[in-house]
Amino acid sequence: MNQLIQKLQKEDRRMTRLIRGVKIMYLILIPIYTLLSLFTPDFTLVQRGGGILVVLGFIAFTVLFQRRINEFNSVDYALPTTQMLSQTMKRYKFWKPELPCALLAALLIDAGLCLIHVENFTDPQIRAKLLDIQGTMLPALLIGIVIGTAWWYLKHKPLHDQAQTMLNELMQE
Amino acid sequence: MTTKEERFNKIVADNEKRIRRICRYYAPFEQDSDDMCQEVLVNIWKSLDNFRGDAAISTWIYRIAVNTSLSFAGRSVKQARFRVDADLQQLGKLIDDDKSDYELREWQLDAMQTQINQLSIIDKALISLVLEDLPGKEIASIIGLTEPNVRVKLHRIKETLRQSLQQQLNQQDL
Repeated sequence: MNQLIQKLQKEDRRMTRLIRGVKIMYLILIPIYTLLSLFTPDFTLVQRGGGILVVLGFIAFTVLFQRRINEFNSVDYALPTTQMLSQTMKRYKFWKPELPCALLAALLIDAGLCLIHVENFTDPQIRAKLLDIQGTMLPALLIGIVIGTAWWYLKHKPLHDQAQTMLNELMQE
Repeated sequence: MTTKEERFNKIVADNEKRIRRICRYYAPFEQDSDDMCQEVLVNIWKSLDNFRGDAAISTWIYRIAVNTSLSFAGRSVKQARFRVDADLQQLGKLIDDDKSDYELREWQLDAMQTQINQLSIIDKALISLVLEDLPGKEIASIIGLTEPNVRVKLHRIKETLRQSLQQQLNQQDL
């Protein structure tokens, strides 16, 4: 029993450290990017706007990360079974509001970075570089979506369907 | 002021038998049962901070044990087997609503276990709570249904078991 408690406490500490680490990273990046966007002397208004878009993307990711952590922490096995099953279904469903928000956040960062460099867009080298970035970013995003979908299908869909079957059976009159 | 560790130790010490019994219902082998118990303990630890005493501690423990067992069994629902170590008289309760001294005969035990294993995992969960001698009101609170709904479901399960056993009995007579 003591071994188990030590393991549980270690796991709690590991999770707390991980969450704190990621939050600190975002909380450092957000002010730095905000300050850079607003106070870099050479920046034009469009570039400052680009910087703000990057910051908004970071903020969106921070909020999404916090929501995910809250969801993870709120898994409560002491709820009545019907409630626990409904929560499981919600947790493992494919289409969540977070999904388009995460895509939007990625696009905000992408658009922001483009705007920061847009002043030099007439320069063929910069233009080629920007197009290169887009050429990498969009397929990467697509691959991410495909991997995420496959992951959900293999790992989460069976749990979702199982919870749904059990809940349907319980709610059957 | 007690620490989380002290509260956890006390709850586990007070309810160890209860937890082990529920896990045994769902796990056919000792090793599976031990793994399931470990998972129940982990979930008790995780849920301990949220326990406000709104429900009785026994109800709270049963909810965690049943929900964990359903999740655990759900991973390999086809392989899930319900193991009953209860005595014959206790099993008799499952097919006798007025709880008189209905006793199964020895040969019926295997048949009963086979029949119980034909039930869905949800029905098995309900059966496990009946075997724990819990009143309908507490079962309803654990599962999250109304008491009349639980009564209807239990009645149907018992009816199914009774009919299956009757068929077996008829076959024996032939």
